[in-house]
Amino acid sequence: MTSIGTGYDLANSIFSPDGRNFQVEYAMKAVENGSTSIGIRCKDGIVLAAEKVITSKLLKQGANKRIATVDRHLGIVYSGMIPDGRHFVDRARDEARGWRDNYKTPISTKDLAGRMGGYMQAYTLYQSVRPFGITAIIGGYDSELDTPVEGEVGSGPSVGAGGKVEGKKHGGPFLYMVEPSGLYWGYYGAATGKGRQAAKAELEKLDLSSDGESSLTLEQAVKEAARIIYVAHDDNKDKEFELEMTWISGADGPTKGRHQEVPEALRKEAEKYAERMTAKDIEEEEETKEGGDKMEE
Amino acid sequence: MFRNNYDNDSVTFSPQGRIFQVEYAAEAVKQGSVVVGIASKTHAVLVAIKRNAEELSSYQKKLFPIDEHVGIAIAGLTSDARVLSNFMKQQSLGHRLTYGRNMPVRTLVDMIGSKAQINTQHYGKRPYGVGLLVAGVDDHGPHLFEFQPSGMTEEMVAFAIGARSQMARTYLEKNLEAFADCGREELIRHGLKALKESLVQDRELTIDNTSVAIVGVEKQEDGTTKPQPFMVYDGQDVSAWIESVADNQEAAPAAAEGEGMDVDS
Amino acid sequence: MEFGTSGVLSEDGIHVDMDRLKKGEVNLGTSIMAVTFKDGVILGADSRTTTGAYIANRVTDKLTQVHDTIWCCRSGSAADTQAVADIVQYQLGLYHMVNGRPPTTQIAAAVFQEIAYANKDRLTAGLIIAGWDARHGGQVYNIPLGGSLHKQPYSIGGSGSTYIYGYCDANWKEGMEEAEAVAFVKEALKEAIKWDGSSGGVIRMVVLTEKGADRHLYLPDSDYKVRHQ
Repeated sequence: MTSIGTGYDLANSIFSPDGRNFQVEYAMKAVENGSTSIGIRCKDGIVLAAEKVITSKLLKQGANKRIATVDRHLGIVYSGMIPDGRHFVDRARDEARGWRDNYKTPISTKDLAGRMGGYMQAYTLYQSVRPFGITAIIGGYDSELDTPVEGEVGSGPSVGAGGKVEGKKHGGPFLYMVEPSGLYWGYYGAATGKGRQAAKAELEKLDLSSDGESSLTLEQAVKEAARIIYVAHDDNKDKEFELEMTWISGADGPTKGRHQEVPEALRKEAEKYAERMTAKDIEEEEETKEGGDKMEE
Repeated sequence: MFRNNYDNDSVTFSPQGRIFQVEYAAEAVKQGSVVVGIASKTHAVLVAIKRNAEELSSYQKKLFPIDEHVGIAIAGLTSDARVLSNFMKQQSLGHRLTYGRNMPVRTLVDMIGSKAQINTQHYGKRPYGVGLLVAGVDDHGPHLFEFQPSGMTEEMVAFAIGARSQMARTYLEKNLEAFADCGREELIRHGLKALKESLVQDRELTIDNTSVAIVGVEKQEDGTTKPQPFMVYDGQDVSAWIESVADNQEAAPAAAEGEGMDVDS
Repeated sequence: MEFGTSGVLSEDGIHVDMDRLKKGEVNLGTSIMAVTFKDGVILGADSRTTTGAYIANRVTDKLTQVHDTIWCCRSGSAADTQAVADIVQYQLGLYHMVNGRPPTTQIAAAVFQEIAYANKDRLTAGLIIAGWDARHGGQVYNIPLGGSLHKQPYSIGGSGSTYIYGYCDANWKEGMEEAEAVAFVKEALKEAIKWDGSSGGVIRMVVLTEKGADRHLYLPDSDYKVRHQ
């Protein structure tokens, strides 16, 4: 390790002479050791996926979920120290609840990401705490509809509200990734954990940001997410894993705006697709190898 | 274990991203005597080896009821286990008062997971030095959970923690397929057999050092199910089960149900 | 059984007269209203504040801004409504700064309601919130004494409003043009002022649209016909 801090890395919140907080960087090492998780934002929704490495055959299958729901329309998946991840989710749920209590409307993905970034960052300021050992991916679908104020009675004029500015789209799917330092950005595709390099390479090949013909639909994104987890799992090849996937669509999509687990049938289809595609990759690799041998004649 | 600069408190990451204080706390669990838990479709069972400090002293209890539908097995610092178990009892009872029913086991386990995680992130606190196996029954059936000092909680089909528990886990992995359909007696026998794997060479299961607890649902003749509250068995009450897994009894089938067996006290 | 300090316990020891103000308190006996129209919303109010029979202020401004294009009409206790509007103005300003976008009228209504309901025993405040934002257009919300939230196409409030329910009901049209809507508000308030002793003075209005907030002032000298500059 090139950056052993020589004394400046023993406590949180301490700056090294070159302006680094080593404890935060070490926390990111804990994330790198964790199993992979990814998020995809496509034009009609969000897909979150996690590679759950099976540490023991004795674990009850399907009982230990990694992807959490916040409010109804937000999901969080994380890589790194699982107990820290649960702490993070608990706080996110409190934030969402506090927003609803005050403003009587669901929190937007951007605002939650901002709050959670602030929370993570606070744990880098004091020696009396340590940074979170996780990177979290927050995905949500902000409602495009005119949601009423919670608890209001009655309605406006039946001809509709006057003075609306036409043509602007509101709401939609959003994806953010928050690091132990509290830094966060918005993404179309995000990956973290051990296999993040491989996953990022695959995500970059997808068409996520355009509105065009080739841009991924939600179902396609689910299949690609499964495939990318399989590709990323290569870094953990010697262990078995369980694939957990969730999705969020708009009000007129399959999840009706809610964060839900991908239904069994679609998940199986996606895993079959993933297995087929990764097997194809291995075949292609072997073919080129054989071709190399032939040359020796 | 090695000493290094990064293991003084739980608010320090090592350069490799590890928190040594939490790992050391896990060592405390490994020092405790072994406990085994198994869950089937109808029951969840906990069995334990109790230790005594000296020949004439009493044996340390390992299995504790929390509420009528859930109980724990401990391995590690007993005083830390006491704090957690008191907390669990209060939460469980409070839930019962508010909602008039059993607290779901997962909810209870999540609470101690959160509680323990805080102790790994704040200065001046230390991680809990105890591991738990939590066995309980709720609307979703019987459950077994493992709790670790890091705050990690996972639902298991079967597990073992404590000294030499790896041997017990190997037994459990080998027999994994059989557990789901086991009846009450068979499940206890599996638990005790797993426990035996972890014993030191010249040791045996006795009525003094073995503890059994079971919770579940029993199907009645008329098709309804009746809950079986969490019960701990010690001393004479476990003698029949110990006999049924004694080495010369391995061939004996379901006939050794524990009834009509002559036992010398 | 005292319900806070803003009520007076009657002789039967059970019923509380919520409408009595504390001794010496200034009353916004009033006529206020807000309407939606084609391009946004219009708020209107009279300008009389009384302490008993004495007119403490004959040119009161009962239309208070809480954000760029979110305003409220205040009726009831002047102190209570000013305090609440202050707090909401602060919260909405903070919202804009922290979240990088202006709050919607709905957010404002939610914040107003939270305060009104949580302190229902201590406040005498009848509020009408009206605002324009790009996403939702013009919205009108009424928060009466108890702290409930009512979304309405138009809303009237204050002591003078009781005399103009019939007039408003008969003359209201949805989606009016600005000039029409201004005339509607003006005529309605004129009637209220005519019949209610606690209402009077000038007619103030605020027009909220995409263009921003535009204040109107009409003096009784010109029989409210001329917009005062």
